Amino acid sequence: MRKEIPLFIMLVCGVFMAVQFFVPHELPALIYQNLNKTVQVVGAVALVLGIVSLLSLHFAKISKRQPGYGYSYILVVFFFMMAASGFLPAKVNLGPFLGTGDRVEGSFFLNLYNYVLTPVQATMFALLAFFIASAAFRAFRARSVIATLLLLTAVVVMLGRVPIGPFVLGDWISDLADWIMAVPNAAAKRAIIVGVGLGILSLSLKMVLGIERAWLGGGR
Amino acid sequence: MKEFFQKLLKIDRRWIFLITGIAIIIPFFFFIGLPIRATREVRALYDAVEALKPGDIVFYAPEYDPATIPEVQPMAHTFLRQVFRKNIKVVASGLFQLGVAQAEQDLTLIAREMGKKYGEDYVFLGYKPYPETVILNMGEDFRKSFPTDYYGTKLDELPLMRGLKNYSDTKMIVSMTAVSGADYWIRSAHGRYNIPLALGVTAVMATDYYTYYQSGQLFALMGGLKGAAEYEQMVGIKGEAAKATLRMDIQSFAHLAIIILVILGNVAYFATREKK
Amino acid sequence: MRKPLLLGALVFLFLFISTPAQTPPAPVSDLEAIDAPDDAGNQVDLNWKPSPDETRAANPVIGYQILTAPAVDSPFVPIGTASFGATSATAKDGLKNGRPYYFKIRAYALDSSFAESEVAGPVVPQGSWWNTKPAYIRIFIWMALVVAFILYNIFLAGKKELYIRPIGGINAIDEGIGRATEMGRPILYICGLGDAAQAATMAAFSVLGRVAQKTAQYQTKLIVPCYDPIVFSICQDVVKGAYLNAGRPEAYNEKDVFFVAQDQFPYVAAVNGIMLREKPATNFYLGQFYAESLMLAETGFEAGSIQIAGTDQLIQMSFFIVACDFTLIGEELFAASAYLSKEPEQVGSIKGQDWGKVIFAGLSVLGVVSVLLENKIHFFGFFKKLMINE
Repeated sequence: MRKEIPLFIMLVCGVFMAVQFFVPHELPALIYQNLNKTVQVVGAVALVLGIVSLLSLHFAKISKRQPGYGYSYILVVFFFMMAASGFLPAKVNLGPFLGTGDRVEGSFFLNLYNYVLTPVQATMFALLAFFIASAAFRAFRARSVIATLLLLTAVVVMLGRVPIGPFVLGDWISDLADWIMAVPNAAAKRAIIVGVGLGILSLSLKMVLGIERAWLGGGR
Repeated sequence: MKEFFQKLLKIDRRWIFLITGIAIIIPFFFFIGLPIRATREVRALYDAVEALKPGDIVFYAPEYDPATIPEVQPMAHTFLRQVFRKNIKVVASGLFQLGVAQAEQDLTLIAREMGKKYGEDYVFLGYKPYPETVILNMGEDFRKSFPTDYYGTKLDELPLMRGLKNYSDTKMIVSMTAVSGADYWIRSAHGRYNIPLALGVTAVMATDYYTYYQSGQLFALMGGLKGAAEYEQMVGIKGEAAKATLRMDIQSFAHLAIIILVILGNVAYFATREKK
Repeated sequence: MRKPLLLGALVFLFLFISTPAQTPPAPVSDLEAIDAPDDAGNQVDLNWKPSPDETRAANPVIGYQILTAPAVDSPFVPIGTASFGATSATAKDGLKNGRPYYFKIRAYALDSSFAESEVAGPVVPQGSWWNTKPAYIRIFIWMALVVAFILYNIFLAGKKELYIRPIGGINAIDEGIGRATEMGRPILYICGLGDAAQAATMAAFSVLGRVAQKTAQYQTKLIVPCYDPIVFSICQDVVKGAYLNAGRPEAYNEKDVFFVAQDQFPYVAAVNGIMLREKPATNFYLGQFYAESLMLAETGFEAGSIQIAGTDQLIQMSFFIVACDFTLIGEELFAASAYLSKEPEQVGSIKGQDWGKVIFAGLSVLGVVSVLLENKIHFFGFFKKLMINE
């Protein structure tokens, strides 16, 4: 029954969700909304499991003094600090440097968000610029006809999508870049979207019918 | 020469990072102000907003986090400045949990700058999980998902929200987004309720959403920093506030640096290949 | 004293006489109320002939209000409006499935005077059990066709061997596992940043099960850092089940499958750190990815791993193609489990998909020709209307 019950639930819910799209009546819409709410609740419970896993992993690293356990200390401290900042009563005042307990400008919560989270996330995202440069240097080599085409297309689009391209070479580079984005790029993407859509339909059908069972744990 | 090209092919990528870094930093100190040509898809948003009358209401959906502020925030600020300048009212949601605080800050900042009053000129609904369900529900009634606004005030207590039921009471939906929630707006808001929809997205996402612009599901599309810079120029944002315009020079130099590196890499490749 | 009073009375009389009397507008006529089709049972369609006073110069009609009541003699309450010039509207505010309603249209003029139409009704809105709009019918036919193709090929696969072309990325999965075993280094498996409901994540689970079974047999370490808590729970189950199936339950270490963070960049920072410290021999990136894809791939390259990626995100495919050794493009990710299992039913489903693609390609060509020749050949004009009629 360990596998039969989940398979049955998958079959019933899968068929219902597919049919519900075509049925405008309020009853299936009500069931659909309640199923969505159920997913929300399950997600909230699963988040607790995830947090327990995360903290137990890092507590174990700290207690066993495994390599890199200093970073685990930082993670645990900031985890609880950020969580606590969201629960602080509005009346609490932690001083001019840390901020107040509510969630408005100048609060501890927003100070952590604006002065810790925001710069850190922006820094991580900024790394992409450097990674793109190194990936482009490595990958854009004219090894074959197709690779040369890729290289030339990349150069045209890179020049055409910034002001310096039209400024130095003329408006044609910008028009060509727009054409590449609007025609071959869109055509290829549409084709891939069709393939992906059919792939999703096929995979979903296999899961609903119980043909694909790897998600259950361990396959057949 | 051969050794030089062989070394170049195996160069430590930190040199590439350094070259890229220098190419990005130099334009910070020398603003050139290269001309930016407006594209049709960005002009469509500008024209649509200019065609609105004072008192019209737009639905605004900012969904970006700190990581994508450089690309999306300039277009968000410019849009808010344009609508507030024309005395158009704004109802906003922030359906990305990591960006709702940012959305609230940006809306408050520009509203204060333009002298707008909360509750009368703009309302911020805030965040609710499962964005697609929320977007569908708002097409029936905003109050279904948001009985209160972000600050806990009942919607009917806000002058702007009295008599405002759902999307059909607004003129358009404009979403400035860096997440896949853009698909939900296309599918559920425009697809189900047929409300005119415009998107402002990151440059990388724009390549995907051109297909929706071509099919007419979007009436306007702004892609990345260039889209934001074009929009700023059209709206007439100047000086320090024109962040995207200021950053376009940086992007130009960064692209040039990458192209030069690619060319060098190919020269080295062919030089060593011929020698083999 | 009398003279000012008399003068005031005369002025008042003069003003009263000279101000023209404002007559209320004429009401709308022929109001018809019918149950709206293809709805949840909460909408009624109203049609009427507009008020003739829309065009009168003085005090014209400027709009309409829709009123409803559950009985003719109950008070009518407003539930909607229609603009000047409208001859139809859909009433949907507060209507309930299966209950009778009566309707009136109130035409109101510039000076707020109004006239109400005759009552239309009773109308009982009923929920539809099937959407008959052409767009939905087209979707249903297409879906039914593709499902039929898939089911037929699954049936056929049980009878004879079906050929599917080899895919480099999928063949490389076994090679990657072998490489990790020989080098004594772990395998890093990333299920992407999607939640468990996403098809790409489901496809990642399928491949994870098979990879985990092999790593259990070869005693290779498998590290699975997870982004979503539900995905984390499922991955733990999948890997544990795979180790059980391989007959090596004692080799399963639950600390190797762990939740990291449900935030994009903290997650990728953690995974990059794992890559640089653990130096896995093989990295699998299968699932839904966003901006972090290139960061993962470049760091994996720096760590010396071979990288096999597969995603349904169109944008990120480009980054993976540039930075990874093997990439599963588009539906190849969803076909991966079929390739790895080699089960006839799985292979048959791929064939069914391919039939669907052939039909789609044919319809696309027909569509292009229809647009070009719609005015010259009747069939193409008819076909175009059939395909785009709402």
